[in-house]
Amino acid sequence: MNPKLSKMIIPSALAFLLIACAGGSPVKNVDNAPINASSPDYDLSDVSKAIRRVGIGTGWKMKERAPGNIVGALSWRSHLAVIAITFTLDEYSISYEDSTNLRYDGHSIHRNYNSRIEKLNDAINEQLMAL
Amino acid sequence: MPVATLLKVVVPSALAMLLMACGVALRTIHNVQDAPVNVSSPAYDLSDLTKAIRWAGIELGWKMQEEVPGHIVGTFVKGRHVAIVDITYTREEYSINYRGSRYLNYRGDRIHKNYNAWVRYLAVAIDANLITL
Repeated sequence: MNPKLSKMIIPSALAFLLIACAGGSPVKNVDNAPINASSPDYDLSDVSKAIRRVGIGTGWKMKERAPGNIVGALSWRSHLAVIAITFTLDEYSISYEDSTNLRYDGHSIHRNYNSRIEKLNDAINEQLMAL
Repeated sequence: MPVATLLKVVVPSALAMLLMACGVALRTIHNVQDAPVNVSSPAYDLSDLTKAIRWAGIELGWKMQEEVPGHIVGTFVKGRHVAIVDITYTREEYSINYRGSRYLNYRGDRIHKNYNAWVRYLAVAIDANLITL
Protein backbone atom coordinates (compact mmCIF):
# COMPACT_ATOMS: atom_id res chain seq x y z
CA MET A 1 0.00 0.00 0.00
CA ASN A 2 1.15 3.54 -0.69
CA PRO A 3 2.74 4.77 2.60
CA LYS A 4 1.04 8.14 2.27
CA LEU A 5 -2.30 6.38 2.30
CA SER A 6 -1.61 4.35 5.41
CA LYS A 7 0.00 7.23 7.33
CA MET A 8 -2.45 10.00 6.62
CA ILE A 9 -5.69 8.99 5.07
CA ILE A 10 -6.49 5.98 7.22
CA PRO A 11 -5.83 7.68 10.59
CA SER A 12 -7.84 10.73 9.62
CA ALA A 13 -10.66 8.57 8.32
CA LEU A 14 -10.64 6.68 11.64
CA ALA A 15 -10.62 9.93 13.61
CA PHE A 16 -13.51 11.21 11.56
CA LEU A 17 -15.43 7.98 12.14
CA LEU A 18 -14.82 8.26 15.89
CA ILE A 19 -16.05 11.84 16.01
CA ALA A 20 -19.06 11.00 13.90
CA CYS A 21 -20.13 7.90 15.82
CA ALA A 22 -19.10 8.32 19.44
CA GLY A 23 -21.78 10.92 20.00
CA GLY A 24 -22.03 10.63 23.77
CA SER A 25 -21.46 13.67 25.97
CA PRO A 26 -22.40 14.47 29.57
CA VAL A 27 -26.11 15.15 29.98
CA LYS A 28 -26.75 18.87 29.72
CA ASN A 29 -28.99 20.21 32.46
CA VAL A 30 -29.81 23.82 33.20
CA ASP A 31 -29.46 24.56 36.93
CA ASN A 32 -31.11 27.58 38.53
CA ALA A 33 -30.84 29.90 35.57
CA PRO A 34 -31.98 33.41 36.57
CA ILE A 35 -35.25 34.78 35.20
CA ASN A 36 -34.50 38.27 33.90
CA ALA A 37 -38.00 39.56 33.28
CA SER A 38 -38.44 43.03 31.84
CA SER A 39 -41.09 44.01 34.42
CA PRO A 40 -41.62 42.87 38.03
CA ASP A 41 -45.37 42.39 37.59
CA TYR A 42 -45.73 38.68 36.96
CA ASP A 43 -46.68 35.61 38.95
CA LEU A 44 -45.87 31.92 38.75
CA SER A 45 -48.64 31.21 36.29
CA ASP A 46 -47.20 33.81 33.89
CA VAL A 47 -43.87 31.98 34.01
CA SER A 48 -45.67 28.68 33.40
CA LYS A 49 -47.57 30.11 30.44
CA ALA A 50 -44.41 31.60 28.94
CA ILE A 51 -42.57 28.28 29.17
CA ARG A 52 -45.48 26.31 27.71
CA ARG A 53 -45.70 28.81 24.87
CA VAL A 54 -42.10 27.91 24.03
CA GLY A 55 -43.21 24.28 23.87
CA ILE A 56 -45.82 25.07 21.25
CA GLY A 57 -43.29 27.00 19.19
CA THR A 58 -40.54 24.35 19.34
CA GLY A 59 -42.49 21.09 19.15
CA TRP A 60 -41.95 20.11 22.79
CA LYS A 61 -45.11 18.69 24.38
CA MET A 62 -45.53 20.29 27.79
CA LYS A 63 -47.83 19.79 30.74
CA GLU A 64 -47.92 21.48 34.11
CA ARG A 65 -47.77 18.75 36.75
CA ALA A 66 -47.84 21.11 39.71
CA PRO A 67 -47.23 24.81 40.22
CA GLY A 68 -43.61 25.40 39.27
CA ASN A 69 -43.22 21.99 37.64
CA ILE A 70 -43.70 21.23 33.95
CA VAL A 71 -43.00 17.94 32.23
CA GLY A 72 -41.74 18.26 28.66
CA ALA A 73 -41.42 15.57 25.98
CA LEU A 74 -39.99 15.67 22.49
CA SER A 75 -40.02 12.80 20.01
CA TRP A 76 -38.22 12.81 16.72
CA ARG A 77 -37.96 9.67 14.55
CA SER A 78 -37.22 6.84 17.01
CA HIS A 79 -35.95 9.15 19.76
CA LEU A 80 -37.76 10.41 22.83
CA ALA A 81 -36.54 12.91 25.43
CA VAL A 82 -38.47 13.63 28.63
CA ILE A 83 -37.46 16.52 30.88
CA ALA A 84 -38.64 18.37 33.97
CA ILE A 85 -38.72 22.15 33.93
CA THR A 86 -38.97 23.50 37.47
CA PHE A 87 -39.24 27.17 38.27
CA THR A 88 -39.83 29.85 40.85
CA LEU A 89 -40.32 33.57 40.25
CA ASP A 90 -36.55 34.03 40.14
CA GLU A 91 -35.04 30.90 38.62
CA TYR A 92 -35.72 27.91 36.41
CA SER A 93 -34.03 24.57 35.84
CA ILE A 94 -34.21 21.97 33.09
CA SER A 95 -33.40 18.40 34.12
CA TYR A 96 -33.24 15.06 32.34
CA GLU A 97 -36.01 12.62 33.30
CA ASP A 98 -36.17 9.85 30.73
CA SER A 99 -35.29 8.96 27.16
CA THR A 100 -35.69 6.33 24.46
CA ASN A 101 -32.95 5.42 21.99
CA LEU A 102 -30.58 8.22 23.01
CA ARG A 103 -27.84 6.00 24.48
CA TYR A 104 -28.35 7.34 27.98
CA ASP A 105 -26.10 5.48 30.43
CA GLY A 106 -26.59 7.38 33.66
CA HIS A 107 -24.38 10.36 32.86
CA SER A 108 -23.77 10.64 29.13
CA ILE A 109 -26.23 10.83 26.27
CA HIS A 110 -26.40 11.30 22.50
CA ARG A 111 -25.23 14.80 21.63
CA ASN A 112 -28.52 15.46 19.76
CA TYR A 113 -30.21 15.51 23.16
CA ASN A 114 -27.89 18.22 24.41
CA SER A 115 -28.27 20.40 21.35
CA ARG A 116 -32.05 20.18 21.65
CA ILE A 117 -31.86 21.17 25.32
CA GLU A 118 -29.66 24.13 24.41
CA LYS A 119 -32.13 25.28 21.76
CA LEU A 120 -35.03 24.91 24.17
CA ASN A 121 -33.14 26.81 26.85
CA ASP A 122 -32.41 29.69 24.46
CA ALA A 123 -36.08 29.88 23.54
CA ILE A 124 -37.21 29.78 27.18
CA ASN A 125 -34.73 32.49 28.09
CA GLU A 126 -36.03 34.68 25.33
CA GLN A 127 -39.68 34.20 26.35
CA LEU A 128 -38.95 34.89 30.01
CA MET A 129 -37.10 38.11 29.23
CA ALA A 130 -40.28 39.30 27.53
CA LEU A 131 -42.37 38.67 30.65
CA MET B 1 -19.38 -16.61 -22.34
CA PRO B 2 -17.08 -19.24 -20.78
CA VAL B 3 -18.71 -21.21 -18.02
CA ALA B 4 -15.87 -20.35 -15.63
CA THR B 5 -16.47 -16.63 -16.02
CA LEU B 6 -20.16 -17.15 -15.51
CA LEU B 7 -19.61 -19.05 -12.28
CA LYS B 8 -16.92 -16.81 -10.87
CA VAL B 9 -18.19 -13.37 -11.81
CA VAL B 10 -21.72 -13.16 -13.06
CA VAL B 11 -23.47 -15.48 -10.63
CA PRO B 12 -21.93 -14.01 -7.45
CA SER B 13 -22.58 -10.43 -8.50
CA ALA B 14 -26.14 -11.23 -9.50
CA LEU B 15 -26.65 -12.83 -6.10
CA ALA B 16 -25.12 -9.83 -4.34
CA MET B 17 -27.40 -7.48 -6.25
CA LEU B 18 -30.42 -9.59 -5.37
CA LEU B 19 -29.42 -9.49 -1.70
CA MET B 20 -29.00 -5.75 -1.72
CA ALA B 21 -32.30 -5.27 -3.51
CA CYS B 22 -34.44 -7.56 -1.36
CA GLY B 23 -32.70 -9.48 1.38
CA VAL B 24 -31.15 -6.88 3.62
CA ALA B 25 -34.26 -4.73 3.79
CA LEU B 26 -36.38 -7.41 5.49
CA ARG B 27 -36.71 -7.56 9.25
CA THR B 28 -38.70 -9.49 11.82
CA ILE B 29 -41.93 -7.58 12.40
CA HIS B 30 -41.59 -5.19 15.32
CA ASN B 31 -44.62 -5.13 17.61
CA VAL B 32 -44.92 -3.13 20.82
CA GLN B 33 -46.12 -5.44 23.60
CA ASP B 34 -47.72 -4.02 26.76
CA ALA B 35 -45.69 -0.81 26.94
CA PRO B 36 -46.44 1.10 30.15
CA VAL B 37 -48.81 4.06 29.95
CA ASN B 38 -46.69 6.70 31.72
CA VAL B 39 -48.73 9.83 32.34
CA SER B 40 -48.01 12.96 34.33
CA SER B 41 -51.12 12.84 36.52
CA PRO B 42 -53.51 10.05 37.54
CA ALA B 43 -56.61 12.05 36.61
CA TYR B 44 -57.31 10.63 33.18
CA ASP B 45 -59.73 8.20 31.62
CA LEU B 46 -59.66 5.98 28.55
CA SER B 47 -60.98 8.72 26.28
CA ASP B 48 -58.02 10.94 27.27
CA LEU B 49 -55.72 8.12 26.17
CA THR B 50 -57.64 7.77 22.91
CA LYS B 51 -57.11 11.45 22.17
CA ALA B 52 -53.41 11.38 23.08
CA ILE B 53 -52.73 8.26 20.99
CA ARG B 54 -54.76 9.40 18.00
CA TRP B 55 -53.07 12.77 18.01
CA ALA B 56 -49.60 11.20 18.14
CA GLY B 57 -50.36 9.24 14.98
CA ILE B 58 -52.09 12.10 13.19
CA GLU B 59 -49.06 14.34 13.71
CA LEU B 60 -46.90 11.72 11.97
CA GLY B 61 -49.31 11.35 9.07
CA TRP B 62 -51.15 8.24 10.25
CA LYS B 63 -54.90 7.89 9.85
CA MET B 64 -56.14 6.93 13.32
CA GLN B 65 -59.59 5.36 13.52
CA GLU B 66 -61.11 4.42 16.87
CA GLU B 67 -62.84 1.04 16.44
CA VAL B 68 -64.05 0.64 20.02
CA PRO B 69 -62.85 2.23 23.26
CA GLY B 70 -59.33 0.87 23.82
CA HIS B 71 -58.75 -0.05 20.17
CA ILE B 72 -57.49 2.25 17.41
CA VAL B 73 -56.65 1.15 13.89
CA GLY B 74 -53.73 3.12 12.48
CA THR B 75 -53.03 3.34 8.75
CA PHE B 76 -49.88 4.81 7.28
CA VAL B 77 -49.59 5.37 3.53
CA LYS B 78 -46.37 6.32 1.79
CA GLY B 79 -46.54 6.19 -2.00
CA ARG B 80 -47.99 2.77 -2.80
CA HIS B 81 -46.80 1.34 0.54
CA VAL B 82 -49.43 0.83 3.22
CA ALA B 83 -48.98 -0.24 6.85
CA ILE B 84 -51.94 -1.00 9.10
CA VAL B 85 -51.63 -1.58 12.84
CA ASP B 86 -53.89 -2.40 15.77
CA ILE B 87 -53.27 -0.19 18.76
CA THR B 88 -54.90 -1.61 21.89
CA TYR B 89 -54.71 0.05 25.27
CA THR B 90 -55.93 0.13 28.83
CA ARG B 91 -55.21 2.70 31.53
CA GLU B 92 -51.99 0.82 32.31
CA GLU B 93 -50.58 -0.50 29.02
CA TYR B 94 -50.68 -0.19 25.28
CA SER B 95 -49.65 -2.45 22.40
CA ILE B 96 -49.06 -1.93 18.69
CA ASN B 97 -49.51 -5.02 16.53
CA TYR B 98 -49.27 -5.73 12.82
CA ARG B 99 -52.68 -5.87 11.16
CA GLY B 100 -51.93 -5.65 7.46
CA SER B 101 -49.80 -4.11 4.76
CA ARG B 102 -49.37 -3.55 1.05
CA TYR B 103 -46.07 -3.44 -0.90
CA LEU B 104 -43.97 -3.98 2.20
CA ASN B 105 -42.76 -7.51 1.36
CA TYR B 106 -44.76 -9.03 4.19
CA ARG B 107 -43.96 -12.74 4.57
CA GLY B 108 -45.10 -14.46 7.74
CA ASP B 109 -43.07 -12.74 10.43
CA ARG B 110 -40.86 -10.67 8.10
CA ILE B 111 -41.46 -7.27 6.59
CA HIS B 112 -39.64 -4.33 4.98
CA LYS B 113 -37.51 -2.48 7.55
CA ASN B 114 -39.38 0.78 6.90
CA TYR B 115 -42.47 -0.75 8.50
CA ASN B 116 -40.53 -1.30 11.73
CA ALA B 117 -39.18 2.25 11.67
CA TRP B 118 -42.71 3.66 11.25
CA VAL B 119 -43.96 1.60 14.22
CA ARG B 120 -41.00 2.78 16.35
CA TYR B 121 -41.62 6.41 15.44
CA LEU B 122 -45.30 5.99 16.30
CA ALA B 123 -44.47 4.42 19.67
CA VAL B 124 -42.18 7.24 20.83
CA ALA B 125 -44.68 9.85 19.61
CA ILE B 126 -47.37 8.08 21.67
CA ASP B 127 -45.03 8.03 24.70
CA ALA B 128 -44.38 11.77 24.31
CA ASN B 129 -48.11 12.50 24.24
CA LEU B 130 -48.90 10.22 27.17
CA ILE B 131 -46.23 11.64 29.49
CA THR B 132 -47.61 15.13 28.88
CA LEU B 133 -51.25 14.06 29.12
